[in-house]
Amino acid sequence: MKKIRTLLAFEGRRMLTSKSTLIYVIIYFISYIISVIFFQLYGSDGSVLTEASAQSFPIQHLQAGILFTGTFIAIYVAQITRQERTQSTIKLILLRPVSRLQYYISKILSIAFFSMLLTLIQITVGYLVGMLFFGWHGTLVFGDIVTSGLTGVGITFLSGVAFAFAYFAFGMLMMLLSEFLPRLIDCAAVGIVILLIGQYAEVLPSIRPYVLVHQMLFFHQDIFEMSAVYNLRSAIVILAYCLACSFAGYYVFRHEDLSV
Amino acid sequence: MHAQLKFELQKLKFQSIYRMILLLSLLSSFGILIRSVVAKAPLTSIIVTDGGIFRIIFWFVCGYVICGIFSEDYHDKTMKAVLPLSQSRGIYLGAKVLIATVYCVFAFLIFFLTKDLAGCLLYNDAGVDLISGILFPIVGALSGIFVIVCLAAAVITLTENEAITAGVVFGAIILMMILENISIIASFVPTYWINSFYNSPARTGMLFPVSIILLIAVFLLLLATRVFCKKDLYT
Repeated sequence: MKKIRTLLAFEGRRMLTSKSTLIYVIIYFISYIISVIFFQLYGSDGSVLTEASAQSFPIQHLQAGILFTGTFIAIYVAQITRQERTQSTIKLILLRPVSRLQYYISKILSIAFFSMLLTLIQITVGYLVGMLFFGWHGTLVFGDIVTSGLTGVGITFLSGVAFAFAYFAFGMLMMLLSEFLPRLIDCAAVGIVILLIGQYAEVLPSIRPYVLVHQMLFFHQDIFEMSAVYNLRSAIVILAYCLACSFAGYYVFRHEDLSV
Repeated sequence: MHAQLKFELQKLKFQSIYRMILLLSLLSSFGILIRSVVAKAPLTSIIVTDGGIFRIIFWFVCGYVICGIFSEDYHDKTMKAVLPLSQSRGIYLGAKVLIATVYCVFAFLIFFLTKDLAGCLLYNDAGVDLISGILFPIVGALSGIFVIVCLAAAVITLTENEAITAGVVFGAIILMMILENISIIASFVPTYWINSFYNSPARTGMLFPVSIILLIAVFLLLLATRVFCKKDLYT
């Protein structure tokens, strides 16, 4: 456990201090500014924003960021898996008394932290842009929910946890696929293809609850609007993706020849 | 320049993914035609309804190709081995810019021309105007691709980081896709130039903003070349 913690602490530091994280913050910031322009020009009909308040801003923008967040997770996963292999730094880590299982677990946890970090960035930047352009106002409107104060902030963060959970499963899927893809850019491209094609599952109501992209789009919203049974099924679907991809990914990684 | 270009072309030739992308362009083109025949709808209306998604895919493919071409030497750590092939570092970067732009335009041409030429053969009413229907969209695609290429060249040179380059390029493409939905500025967004160059009145009003964007792109490229020529790449 101590070794996993050491590896994780290193990844965490790299994640928090890397230039890529700063770039992601800037990109989210620009996209939220564009969203404000949309709202000013077309009102709530032509924008994802239905309520002009900082309280509602982040939660209403989580879903709209699917392409950004999905792409950034795919890039991050490729960065911590493929780049270590092409730069041969993985050998340095595995030369130390660290098993492949410990190494793999540390990567899984890193992806979980990165999913949470991206969600936190989106929520924080959302509050910031909302405050800059609309002021706090205090009313949170999200689907059928209308609330205010700390309850609204709590709902935003709860929704963020559900959002991060679905994106963590996507990260696990990308981690499995990255075992078969030679370059970072290939992983990013495959991630985008999955996100684009996966959205077409929305036209098939019978299969869409089992499609990960559907859960990435709606799970954070469904937890407030759908029945407990429906949400339990969605959570099991996401968990199944996480477990299946983790085990399959570890199986491939364990049998991979890393000595060459 | 000639040797460097030949070397880059050889790389494209041997990497199967680049052949697959061209094949995919051809299949997409035929896909639109087949859908037009099956739906018994005019080709132009199918292009309007389905063309949007193909344009989005096209720009992501461009992002992938451009990032791949620019970052491969950083990724494979082959920069030190490749640089002596060129007479200067500027030629190395110039060859990359040229090859990435030409390849993406070529992929666009395969999709665009096959669809129109086969459409002309299938339908009598599918005749297209050579200047506004073919030449201007190609110029629009070329200019848009050049902007993305310059952005990628600047980012990879300044950061030497593949992940940041991919993040910035794909992030910029997604942001431009979002900006296309604001009708006032849609015509000035580089990813929309394929469409907006088609419309002649808008084109005349676009000359100034398009020139400004292209100038910024050239400035980024010059900056990238300057930084790249002075960079210590031997560590």
